[in-house]
Parts: sequence; structure tokens; C-alpha cells
Amino acid sequence: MIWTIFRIGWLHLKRDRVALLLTFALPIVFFSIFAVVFSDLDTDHLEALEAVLVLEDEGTTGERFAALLEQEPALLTHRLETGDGRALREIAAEQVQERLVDVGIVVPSGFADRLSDSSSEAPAVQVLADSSNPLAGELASGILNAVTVRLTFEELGMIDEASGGEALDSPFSFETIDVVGDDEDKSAVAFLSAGIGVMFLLFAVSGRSGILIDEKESGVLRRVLASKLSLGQLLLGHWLFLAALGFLQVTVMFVWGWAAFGLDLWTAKHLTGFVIMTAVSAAAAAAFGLFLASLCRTRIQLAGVSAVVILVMSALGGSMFPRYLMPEGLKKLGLLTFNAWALDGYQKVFWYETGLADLKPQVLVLVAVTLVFLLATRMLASRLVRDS
Amino acid sequence: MSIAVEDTTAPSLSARRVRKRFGAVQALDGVSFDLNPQEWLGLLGPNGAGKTTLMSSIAGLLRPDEGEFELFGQRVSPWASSRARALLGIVPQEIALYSLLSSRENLEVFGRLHGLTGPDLYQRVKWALGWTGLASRADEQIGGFSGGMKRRLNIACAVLHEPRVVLLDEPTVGVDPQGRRKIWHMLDELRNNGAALIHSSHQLQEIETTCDRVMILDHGSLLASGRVGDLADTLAAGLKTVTIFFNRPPDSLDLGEGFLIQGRIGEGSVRDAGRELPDLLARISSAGLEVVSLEVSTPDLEAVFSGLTGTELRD
Repeated sequence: MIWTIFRIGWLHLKRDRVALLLTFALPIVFFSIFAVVFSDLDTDHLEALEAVLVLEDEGTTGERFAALLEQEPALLTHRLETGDGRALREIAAEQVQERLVDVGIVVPSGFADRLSDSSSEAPAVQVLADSSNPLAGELASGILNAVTVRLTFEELGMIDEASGGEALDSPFSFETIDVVGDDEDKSAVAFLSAGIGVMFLLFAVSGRSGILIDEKESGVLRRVLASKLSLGQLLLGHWLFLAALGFLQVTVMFVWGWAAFGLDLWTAKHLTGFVIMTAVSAAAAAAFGLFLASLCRTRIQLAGVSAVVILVMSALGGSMFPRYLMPEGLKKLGLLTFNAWALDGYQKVFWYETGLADLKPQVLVLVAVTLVFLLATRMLASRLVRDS
Repeated sequence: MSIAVEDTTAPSLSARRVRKRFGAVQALDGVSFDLNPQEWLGLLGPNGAGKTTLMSSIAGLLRPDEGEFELFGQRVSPWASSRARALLGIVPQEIALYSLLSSRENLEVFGRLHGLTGPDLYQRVKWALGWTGLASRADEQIGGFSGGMKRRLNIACAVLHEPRVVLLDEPTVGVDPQGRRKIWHMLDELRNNGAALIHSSHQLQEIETTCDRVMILDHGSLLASGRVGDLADTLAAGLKTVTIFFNRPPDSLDLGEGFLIQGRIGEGSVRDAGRELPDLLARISSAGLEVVSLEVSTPDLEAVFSGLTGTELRD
């Protein structure tokens, strides 16, 4: 008797391909994505961090410090030497803002004064970082720390394996300056609002787009199509509703981010950028949801397919962890997902403070995605009518 | 908002040599018929006979491979014609309603989709709630309604725009006898108000009771069409069904070719009851049996249907 119940469970699973996919394939896909991303964090395989170096200290210790940095395999250092009249640290900050390099390192004049006089106030070595890429800042600080320990031992002649320098109080200090946003916590909130918002936008619209399947199964579709409404109008009506729903959902999330976590939403530039990005993201998500619904024959199938597709897209597209953590190959693969383009757009608005014109690539891609999915939905929906 | 028809003498609906094939299956094979104004036409056929394909083709949801339809004498392409959609009302077999909406909201939605607005919509919704007997529960979600209530609303949503031809696909399936009679009464009212009805059903007794005429469809072909009584007479060619109840099961009794005896009942056909019955009674008497009762009747629709399609209706 119990065996019979067991067998029923097995037969149901065996014949439900989507459930099989969810049970066995999805975990493998996720495992692989996470493994590729995080194995890349292993220092043995770490891609070198690109840094621009501004050496303001003109002494030999500064030169030695620069040389040690340039020898560091985990850091690809370019030294900035001429600024055509502009302050070099300003140029370095611009390069970080424009994402030409991962970090900037400014070695101020007198940074090593404490080596000779431990009571003096030496200026800190500055790491110019992008808070939307906190890992780069952290890694750079770690590398600097290691380099200064070596420099300290060299300069003070204390390279002694027995002491290991454990008790040494570092004569150098570091300071990380966010040259993109001015508040790291708020930037993290903006990242989360966008990442989580876009993923749940996809879940919400794909779930609600199941109304198309309900209408087919209940016979409402036949009845509606026998009225004055055409199939195209029906799909357009559903798309408009889903897009409006998506817009509202993301708005609620960002307003909550502002109210509870201080997200900087209410500036004209941020608000305009937010409205543009949310409108095109919601439009594309709505079209994508309808496409999934027209592809599936039942609600159960839709739920399964949506879960697989949305979770994979969110993992690759940067909703679950930032794309800057990913190796180049995955980063490029991520661009095939809806999430990556939407998140890049939000990043430009909230972190990089770029002009609205800079949103053009993201807006164009998302509008194109919308049109492609709407057309595909219209073609697939004819099959829905035949099946109804 | 009923639409004006130009030719009031023409049939409400005509089908001309309509064919439709799905792969290897010929779903409709040259079907032709006329539906007259205010006529209630029954459509019978076993599952897979082509009834739903015919209904869908008339409704414009399927494009026939060949043939055409005319509405009030005008050739129509229902696929694209708004005139045809205004003249037709479709009652699907499913409860094709939004279950989270109330009766009133469902009526308003489908009224709007048929082009009703403002006071027209308000009046028609009010009429429909009264017609279906749902006025007192107009604002309840329909999920908790009985099968009969949902069926009545299902019909009402299809006729708000006052169509001149109403296609009903199994409109009473799953409804108790009392509920069925209520629906028949509603449909009769529609017909009296000027609509012609095509009524597809598995309920032979319903078709016999309600319809003026019946069409029998099988394998995509129209096998027979006519008034129920005429059809039976024509098919049976004068044969009468004789049913005899004995006082006890016979040990051995031969009533002639075509007669079957099961338990205390013997049943068969005779062409001339006046001349053949005395011989039957004599055989019964010789077998030592008494006749408790004897019925002579015209073959019913079920017999006609079985004779034509060679199958029971629910097969």
C-alpha cells in the first residue's frame, strides 16, 4: 500500500518535466553559477585589480612603496605622472568614476613620516573607490596593508622571521574615499532596491500573466474573442496592466528604501532617472511575463518555467550578487539577461550620477526587448486560441 | 443596441458546404443548413462528431477551409466582421466567467466588450440580473454560486448585446432538472424576443422537449435534419415500437424476428400493429403467459440517433 503511494509520487515527478528540471537541473545550474563566481575569488585565480597610482610623496620611501605595489601580482598598477595642469588625484578619481580602473591609490607627501618619528601625524594613504564595487576597495586596502608591512620591515630593518612583526604597530594609515557615491550604506540600499526589485518585478508579472492561461482554461478567451475585442487588443490590455503593476511594485520598493533606509530618491535627476528606468523595466518585464504565459499550457507549467528562467536570469543578471564579482565570461553572458540591462541603468542613475542621456543604451535595449517579446507573444497566442 | 438586419425574410443563419480539417481528421465535411428566424435548432452528435468545430466556425473562432456562412442573407467572414460579432451571441460549454468577480461585474465586463456603455449598459445589466433571477446576489463573487446560477449567468453574459443568433454549447450540463427548466424558460424568452438558437446538447430529452428542429452530425457530416417527430417517422419508415410486460419471465417464447426478451419484458418493432399484434398475443398465450401491459409507440429520438450513428449518444 505504501509502495503504491510512493509509486504515484514517482510517476507524477517523472512525467512532469518542469518539476524534474526544478528538482535536479536548477540546483546544478545555480551551483555552477555560484561556483564560477566564487571560485574566481580564490587568490590563486584572482584577476588582477586595476589601479591608478598617484605618488605625491617625492622621497625614496614613496618610490620604494610604488615599486612594491608594481611588483604586487594581484594589482595591475598604472602610475599617473602628468595631469596637464590638473591635480593628479582629481584625474585618478575621474578614472574610477568612469570605471576605467577599479581603484585609485594616492600616496600623499609625508605618508611615511612615522617611520622616522612615531609621534608625528602622517597623512593616510588614500584608496579612491567606487562604493558600488566595494570588493575592489576592500581588496586594494588588503594589498596596501601587505605592501606597507613589507615596507615597514625594510625601512626599519626588522625583517626577522622570529618576530614576524606581529607586535609591530603599523606606522601607516589608510583611508578609503568613495569617489562615486558619498554614502556607502545608501549605495548598498540602492543596489538592493534595484536588484531585488527587478527580480520580484519578474516574479510578479509572470505570476499575474497566468491570467491568460486561466482565460484559456475557463473558456473566457473564446468568449472574449467572440466579442468586439481582438486578440491583439486583449494582449495589449493585459500588457498595460502588468506594466503598470510592475511600475507600482518597483516604486513601492524604492519609496520604502527611501523611508526606511535613506535612499536618495527625491532629487530631480534621481527621480527622473528612476521613472525612466522603471517604466522601461516594467514594460519589458510585462512583455516577458506574457511571453512565458503564452509559451506554457498550464498554470503549473508557468510557475515552474518562470521559477527556473527568472532565478537563472537573476543570478546571471546581477540581482543576486553584483556582476562585478563575476569573471568576464559570466559578465558578458549576463548581458543576455533582462536584469543586467535594468540594473546597469539603475546603477547609472543612483551611483554614477550620469546624465539621463547616458541611459540611452539601457533604455533602447529594454524597449527592443519589450517589442520582441510582445511580437513573440502575439504569434504564440494564436496557438492559445486554437487550444481553447 | 440590437443591430438592424437588412433582409428579414432570409434565414437568420445559413451554412454552405463548410469544410474543416485538422490533420488527418475531417472535422466538418460539407455541412449545409439554414436556421430560420426565431427557430430553436437542436444539434446532436456523439463526441468528436464536429459540433464544437461547427459552433466555433460560426462564431469566427475557427476559419473553415471551404464554404461560407451567411447572416440574414449577407455573406460574412466572422473572423473579422464586427457586424457578425454584433449579431451573434456565444454561450460556451465551460463556465466562461471571471470567478473572482460578482455577477454584476461579470455582466458589465462582457457588456463593455460587446460595445455597451453608459445607460445602455446599465439597463441591460439590470435586465440580465432580473432575467437570471440573480438580482438579490448581484454583488456577490460568483465563486460560491450553484452550478445552475453560474449557467444562467453564463448565458446572460452572451446575450447582453441582444444578438439575433445565439449559439449554445451544452448550456445546461451539470444542472439539476429544476435548474434546467429555468434555463429552458429563459431561452424560450430569448426566442420569443426574436433570437434564433442553435442548441448543442447531449441531453436527448432536452432536445426533444425544447427544439423545433434537430440536426444530427457525425464524422463531420450532417446525417439528418428535421422536426423530431418527422425525423423518427422518416427513419423508422412506419415502424412502431412494441413493448410487452409479462406476468413472469418466459421459459421459452419466440415473438419473431427482431424481438428481444429480457426478464419479464419483450420489445421489438412491427410495421402494421393492427394485423401483427393478434399473432403476438396468441404466441404469448400459447406459452402460458399473461400480458400485464402492452405499449405501442413511435420510435424516440434516441432510437433515431442510434439508428443513424450506430452509437449511443454518450459514446
